Amino acid sequence: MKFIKKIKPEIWGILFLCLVFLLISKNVYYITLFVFCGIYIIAVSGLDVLFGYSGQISLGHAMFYATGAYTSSLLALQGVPVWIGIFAGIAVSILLAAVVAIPASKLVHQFLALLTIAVGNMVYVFLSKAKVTGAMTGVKNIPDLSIFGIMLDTKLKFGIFMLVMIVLFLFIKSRIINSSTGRALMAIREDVVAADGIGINVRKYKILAFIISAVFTSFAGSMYAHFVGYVSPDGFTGTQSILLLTMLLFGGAGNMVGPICGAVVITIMNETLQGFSTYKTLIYGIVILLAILFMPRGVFGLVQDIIRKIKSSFGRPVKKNAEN
Amino acid sequence: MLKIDHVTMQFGGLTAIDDVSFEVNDGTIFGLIGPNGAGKTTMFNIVSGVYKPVNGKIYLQDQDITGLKPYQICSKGIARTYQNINLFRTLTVLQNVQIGCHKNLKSNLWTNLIRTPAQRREEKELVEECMKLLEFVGLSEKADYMSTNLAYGEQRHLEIARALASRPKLLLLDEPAAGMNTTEKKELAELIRKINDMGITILLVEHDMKLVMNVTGEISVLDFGRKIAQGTPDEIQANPEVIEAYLGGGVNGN
Amino acid sequence: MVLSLIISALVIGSVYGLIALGYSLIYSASGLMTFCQGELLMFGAFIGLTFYRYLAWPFWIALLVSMLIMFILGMLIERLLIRTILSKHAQTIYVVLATIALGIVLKNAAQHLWGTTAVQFPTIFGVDFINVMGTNVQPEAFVCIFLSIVVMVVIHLFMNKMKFGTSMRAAAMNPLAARSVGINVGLTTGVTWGLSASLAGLAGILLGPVQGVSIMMSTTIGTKAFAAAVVGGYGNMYGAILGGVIIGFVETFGAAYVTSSYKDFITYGILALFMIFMPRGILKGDVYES
Repeated sequence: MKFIKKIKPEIWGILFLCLVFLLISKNVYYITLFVFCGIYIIAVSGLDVLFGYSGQISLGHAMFYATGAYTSSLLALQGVPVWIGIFAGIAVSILLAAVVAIPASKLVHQFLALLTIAVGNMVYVFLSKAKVTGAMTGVKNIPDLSIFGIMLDTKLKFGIFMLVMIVLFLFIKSRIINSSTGRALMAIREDVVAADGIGINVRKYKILAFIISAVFTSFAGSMYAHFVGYVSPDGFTGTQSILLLTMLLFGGAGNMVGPICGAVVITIMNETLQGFSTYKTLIYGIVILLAILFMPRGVFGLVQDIIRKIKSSFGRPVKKNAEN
Repeated sequence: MLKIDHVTMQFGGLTAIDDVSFEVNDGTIFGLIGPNGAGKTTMFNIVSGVYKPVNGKIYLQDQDITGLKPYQICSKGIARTYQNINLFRTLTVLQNVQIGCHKNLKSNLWTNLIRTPAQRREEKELVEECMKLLEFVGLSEKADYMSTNLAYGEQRHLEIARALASRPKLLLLDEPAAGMNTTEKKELAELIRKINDMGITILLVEHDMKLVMNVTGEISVLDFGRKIAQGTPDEIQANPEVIEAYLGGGVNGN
Repeated sequence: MVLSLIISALVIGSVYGLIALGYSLIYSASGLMTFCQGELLMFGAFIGLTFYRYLAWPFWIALLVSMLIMFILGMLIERLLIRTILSKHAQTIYVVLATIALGIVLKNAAQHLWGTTAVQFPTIFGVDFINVMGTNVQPEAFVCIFLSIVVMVVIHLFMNKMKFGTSMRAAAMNPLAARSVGINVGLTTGVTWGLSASLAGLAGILLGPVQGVSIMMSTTIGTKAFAAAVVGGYGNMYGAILGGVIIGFVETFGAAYVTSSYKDFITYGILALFMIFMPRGILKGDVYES
């Protein structure tokens, strides 16, 4: 297990703190907050692979969130073990991702965005009208997840499980982006023509990016379903897709830390603003506008820029490498 | 190495390339020149698969590569640089070259996830090979720099290093000297010769006549999409039709 | 029955057409896509409502003033938001995201200004229904269809026969060349956005008497109008109108004869299918495919 040695001590520190936080939290509200942060960290990291790394925009990503959530819930209610249901959800999401990605690989940005909106809306209409998904009422009494025989019936147990899953998925993302696959995706993002000319099968990688990001988001959706115990179409509207994107843009796309930052900050903001539900979407809108106008690389990019300026003002030669 | 066989290219009603044929022999440096708009970059785009010719065929070592997609053509052994530098801007110098070598890698998503010993070895060797290429073009000190932070001439060198990373048999250089000063052009000529010495055939589009005459062994001249002359540098320089085309058409060259 | 369906189809079709026309104008003028036309429709409808119902202005004055206000709003959007983003050399996708965000802000602003309940747009003619060939039809439906046709003809003439319109088309095809012959490209782009916003507002006011005014109108209509634009050919003015009529009919008749709850599914499905198989639409808009 060489990779365990490679994980920086700071990260172990953070993980330890998270674990302690979970264990000592008397108020389950904090654990719930943690789990939601985790769900979004995974979902947004997935979206990052698609947008931050391969440069494809998806404004309908909630559809993968939904397929994960609904598939594992419905199967679980039929008696299927939840963890199998989660994999089934991932399989359905992969299928959906392929269906969208194959034509999408031919489309330029804005038209791709439009396609994802269209399919995302189709999924929403289906979920909100079909009897099998419970139409607007949704699916209730979703069974708890049980792993290796341990039933995750308390929020604490789920929280710890979530912590492990966050680490797992971030690890997977890190492995992908720091490899030839990751480089190929970034090449496509930077210059499709040059990438094509240098031997990268652009179509294949574009589809791959979609699929990878769908897997992440689908898993996050399943987590949501089995934690909350109840899903309804409300949670999978276009607004949810925009929320995911807001988190990504705010935190910073194209790196490991940005999505985490965006997911955590906006989830917390979301929760604390519960009382102002009418202003919630307004704030999303304003946050996106601010991010686009003033922080095109998100908070993480802003922090990087500040560090760089500080370094260069101290006369240290700044190499300006890209942080990935 | 490369055979262009009666290739015609049309865009809507406009004929950009009109029944052009020429052959590039193994191991040579072949020049493609002509006034602005003659169709040189279009020719490159056809060879590298960006366009499919309306008529005619392209052969690489006797294999028909007409109509193949760019990444397929690259895997057959053709690499190119671009007129407007098409570097991967937010990536580092090293990463640009690493991507150049992508098609030669055996690892895929799964081996990248699991990091098999073979994958780790491949990545390590990749870095070594890329550093050697960077040294070859004189950029090894700046491996970690973001590619946009390089000087203009260095960016062109980087593009060449990236193309070389794909281990091509044939290298297409599209106006590599554009925007360079005299010293840089001399270095470029040296570099081109060194690449050729490694056994790589080179097809060069260039406006700088001095560079072209100096470096190439054979030249083909296009004007308004038609080939008007072919021969050694000396023959071309003395060819009255060529002189006419340049003086009558756009003014360029140094 | 069929007659009332046809009229409904034409009404919603002309609304889609007007919005799609806005999309195509902006796209052919600047190569950009805007995702807030639906919200502009709603905003314009509310503004018109305010003048007509709350301030009791005559309908036509309310309409024209609203359109003017929307026009100015559109120009402001272009100048303050779009130009700023473009000047940072950001990818065009950020413009898309900005317009989406702007749409959200508009929707929320409307919510706070006018509330969330749907409001009835008073009748223009004082009669609720007139009897046409045995069916009861709202006279406003005819106003909607008629005005839409008039507007489309006017725009056609403007773009093709009048000097400013030709300048706009020139600026769209080649901004640099247009500038060098003295065309104020900033102005023409601004006018394009202003015009699109104005068309959206008009569509909202025309739809008002027929379907009421609410913030719910915004996003759905905006997205469905994309179907109209794509089907007809994105970027092609006449395609927008053609697409609008097609979608209007497919949606209305589909809801009546096939399924009414999945009505939206059909429209989005058509959009998705066209994007997959025929992204350039029927009249071959200039879709910049990769």
